[in-house]
Amino acid sequence: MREELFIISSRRQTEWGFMVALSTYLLNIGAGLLVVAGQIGYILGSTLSIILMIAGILILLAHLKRRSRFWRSFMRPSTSWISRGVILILIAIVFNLLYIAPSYEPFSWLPWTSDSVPGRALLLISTVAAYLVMLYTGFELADNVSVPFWNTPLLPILTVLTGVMSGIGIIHLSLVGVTLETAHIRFLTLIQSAIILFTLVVIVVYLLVMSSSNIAAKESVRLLVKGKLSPAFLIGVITFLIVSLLLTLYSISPRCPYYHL
Amino acid sequence: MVRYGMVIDLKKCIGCGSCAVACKIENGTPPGVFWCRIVWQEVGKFPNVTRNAYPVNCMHCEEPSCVKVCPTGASQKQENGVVTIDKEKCMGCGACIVACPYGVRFMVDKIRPYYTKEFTPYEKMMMPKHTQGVVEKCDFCSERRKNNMQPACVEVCPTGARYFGDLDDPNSDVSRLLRIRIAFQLRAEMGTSPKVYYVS
Repeated sequence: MREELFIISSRRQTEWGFMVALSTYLLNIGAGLLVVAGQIGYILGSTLSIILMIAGILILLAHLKRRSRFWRSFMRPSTSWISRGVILILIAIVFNLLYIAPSYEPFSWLPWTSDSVPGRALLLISTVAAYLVMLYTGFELADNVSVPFWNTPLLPILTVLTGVMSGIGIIHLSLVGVTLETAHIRFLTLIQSAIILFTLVVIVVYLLVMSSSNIAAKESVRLLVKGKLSPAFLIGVITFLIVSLLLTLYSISPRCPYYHL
Repeated sequence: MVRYGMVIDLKKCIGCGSCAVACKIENGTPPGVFWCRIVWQEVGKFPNVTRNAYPVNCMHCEEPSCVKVCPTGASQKQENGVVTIDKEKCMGCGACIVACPYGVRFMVDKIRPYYTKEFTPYEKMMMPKHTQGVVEKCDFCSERRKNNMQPACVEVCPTGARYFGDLDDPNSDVSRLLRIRIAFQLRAEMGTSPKVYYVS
């Protein structure tokens, strides 16, 4: 019965759980990877981005209770962020597939290359769609007035930052055994350091704004900072971001043994 | 065109739960699905404590957040102001459940018997009305309204605490009550403008 007292205070959101969180995260980092890989012409990264986004969609499908009706989710882009999201994801995947296809042998007969004008146009469309997908993952949650902790314009900013940040992270991970220009790696690492720092600032501002909001938002902040979610948040998010920031800064400093490679 | 709404007089409500039971009987909702229920609020500190009963069902909001977020168009607001769900269109994403500030939408995860492993004859009769994997909620007893009857929760209330009618008709009970009594809406700050009002 205590759970029911939301009418005068708050109640927990339980409908969207791990599956939706995982799907949203995969779509977000897939879109971030698409943007970054496209900018540096890293075809393997672009391919990985499609795999991640398709995995995100498949997990979203698994969450649905009536999967055969998924096609109906394209029907309401005028008001629903989920509708907008699935359309944008489809555009990002299809145009990015067309962009990378000629780079693979079976599709080399296609009348454009990734460096040609049509190829660049395809990349531009998929990049814009990918940015919008990152925004969508934020707006999908921020649009819910019923969950005050989500209902803030800071959330879409945070999803774009984490998307691009994770995208760069995946590029770094995928570089093992792959040749990429050192200047590109340095540039990406520098950008990543700035994004991690900015993300940390946004998270702090987010928590400060929410801790001065209504009782439900305050309770969410308490759960993250002091409550049962605090180990996951403080170690898994905050400490991880700080360690990542220190590592990226070290890797681009002359003290790093790999600096001159 | 009518604009249906409900007024609940909290001074009359004794929290007996007849409305919730009547709703269950009328609609035969599966276990775990409550289109109408009572929420209790404890006020004060011991020994000066009171418990307030809030009968809660779908608020049929003027600006329903559930309709806005629905990606399939299954959730709709009808011309008479009643918010409905088209079971044939719902894909069970749960977006409307998250968006609803009142927690009055329920996912029918599994239709199972209430008491034993077997469905009772009554359950067998009522269960075909429900579909697994879609969201359900109060529709102000649409079947009863077609027969010019009041919603079951209104008709069964032993103290007459619930009033149902046309908010645009100045002579209706609901309009009259809203004129002469101080009314409030639940979570009005959400901007959804609920059409279920409470007077106390």
